[in-house]
Amino acid sequence: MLAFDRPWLLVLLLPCLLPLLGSGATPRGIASLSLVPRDFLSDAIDGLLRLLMAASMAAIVVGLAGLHRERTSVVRTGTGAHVVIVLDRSLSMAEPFARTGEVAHESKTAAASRLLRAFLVERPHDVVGVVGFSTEPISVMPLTEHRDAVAAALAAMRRPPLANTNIGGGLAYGMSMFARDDAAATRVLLFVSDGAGIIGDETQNYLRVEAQRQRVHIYYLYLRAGDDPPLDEDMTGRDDSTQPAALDAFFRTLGVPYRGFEALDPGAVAAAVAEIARLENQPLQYREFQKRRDEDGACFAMAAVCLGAFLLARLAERAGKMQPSPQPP
Amino acid sequence: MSALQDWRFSCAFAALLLLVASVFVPPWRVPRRVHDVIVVMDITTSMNVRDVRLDGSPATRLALEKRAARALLANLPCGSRLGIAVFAERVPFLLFEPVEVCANFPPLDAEIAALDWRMAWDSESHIAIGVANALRLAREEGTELIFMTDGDEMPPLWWTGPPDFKPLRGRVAGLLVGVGDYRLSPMPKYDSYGREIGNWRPGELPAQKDGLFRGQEYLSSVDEPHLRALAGATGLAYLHLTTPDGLLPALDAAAPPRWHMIFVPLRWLPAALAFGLLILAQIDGAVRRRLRLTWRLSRVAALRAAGRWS
Repeated sequence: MLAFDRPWLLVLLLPCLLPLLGSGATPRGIASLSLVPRDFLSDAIDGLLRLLMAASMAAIVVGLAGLHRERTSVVRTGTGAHVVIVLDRSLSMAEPFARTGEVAHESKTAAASRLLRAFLVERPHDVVGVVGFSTEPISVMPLTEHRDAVAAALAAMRRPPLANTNIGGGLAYGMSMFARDDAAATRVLLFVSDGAGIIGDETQNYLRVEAQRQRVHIYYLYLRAGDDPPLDEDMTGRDDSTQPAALDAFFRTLGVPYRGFEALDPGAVAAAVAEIARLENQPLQYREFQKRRDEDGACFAMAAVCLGAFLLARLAERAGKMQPSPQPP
Repeated sequence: MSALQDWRFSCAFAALLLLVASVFVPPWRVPRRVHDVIVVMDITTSMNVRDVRLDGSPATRLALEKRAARALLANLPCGSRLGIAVFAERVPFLLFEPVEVCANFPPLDAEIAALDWRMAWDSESHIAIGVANALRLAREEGTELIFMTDGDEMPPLWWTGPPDFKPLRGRVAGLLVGVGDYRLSPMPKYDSYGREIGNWRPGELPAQKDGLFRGQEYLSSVDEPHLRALAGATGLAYLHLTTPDGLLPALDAAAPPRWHMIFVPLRWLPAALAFGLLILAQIDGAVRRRLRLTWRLSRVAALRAAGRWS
């Protein structure tokens, strides 16, 4: 949309009519124009020159009034999802991965932060929110399309973590973020943790109800150190709900699309993240922002062109003496 | 007489040169004062005490602190960068690294609004140690620091006093902000669901194990002497927060200026001059006559109207 910064300056369009009113005459050694026979071509050129001058002045006024294209957002359709990343910020996340991948002695936290940022670079249209959890869930960044803010939040997550692990709280907070998001988009909850824990009955119910109501796709990215129990541990006959395998089983009972990934090193995290990126490519409506563009330069350029044409025409004028028209004998 | 000697032609030609210049003139680079700052917000339970006023009504310290942070976000000039950390226990937990405030305003504003005391991972608040950690954080990030708290150490500061600030002193510019009233006020109490269930009463708070507790820990006020001492030891400036928009002026005063170049367009200047010249070039005898005629007609019309309405 075009708009003006200083619309009141458009009053100056009135004096732009001056060239149409003036005689345009330059003093010449001729008593009266009526001595010269009326000529259609001359009248046309005269009118054209007046219009050129008026247009030049008007273009300057429009430029001075601050003509610009407004900052707008266009709704486009691409592929992607609304993603809430729920990131474990408990103390154990400070430990290094068992096998060092591309970066030597990288902590789980730092690796997760780095790979998630890489994941988001590949997915430009996702709307992303971040929740950290330790003893309590912490809102880190609400669901937003402003990717600089999300990148800054994920970058801050490589700093030392906090205290205990409250998985249920983190999951519930992440799930509640979707409740305030009314867009018709695929919802993805990406849960990144190096362990599991007990989720209270009340929280379990809340998660079940909300996951089904909002059709949330859940991914569990389990960052496993060497001697941690595997994700596909056989839990038959054991009632130990603190194990990752138990959490995996709980997610399976939710009745929504779910996949668990076990990552022993940063390379495996990257593979899991790539797999999630491949799976979550449903159509998504997203907003694309177009920056404000000032058009005053274009106005002044146009004014210069009109004025240049006018002056060229003036230069083509020849002042030559008028020949007295032949008198009829 | 050729066109080149005509003064009106000269005016128009000068206008053309000015217009061409206006298209190519570069914007003017002006420095503007900005801040790179990390704001640390105390979210421990003593921040729930209702002893401050916001919009004329009693409010919690946390509400005032959040509003102050949002006002700072809104008032920082574009090009400034803001990071937010929440404080509990001993740790300023950085939520996001400093990002540009104008481009990222909506999510940052929503994030500050979403902060809650329930996010605290621990009920203790070792403020002196927290300030030391926050100074380290700001130094690592190369930013200024604003630390907002009520100064209510829980448990009370150990007899050895605050940590040694010497290596940090004066390395980071910024503010230590006291939030809360000087008088003691009751502290709200919460159940395990985070619902408010009245106030703490004498003797209810955890064991008064040693002489450090004065027996008044169920009440809270802003501990200004403690905060002023911390500010003195760290080289931060102290501010007692009473209105939400107090942070930016105080930060301007406390921190050495950082400059961010902004571009001020200058196109309009030669273009306006060109317009003036073109107007000048239009004034000839005929125009003067016509203007005079218009003026007379309008005066006649005005007089008539006045006659009719008076």
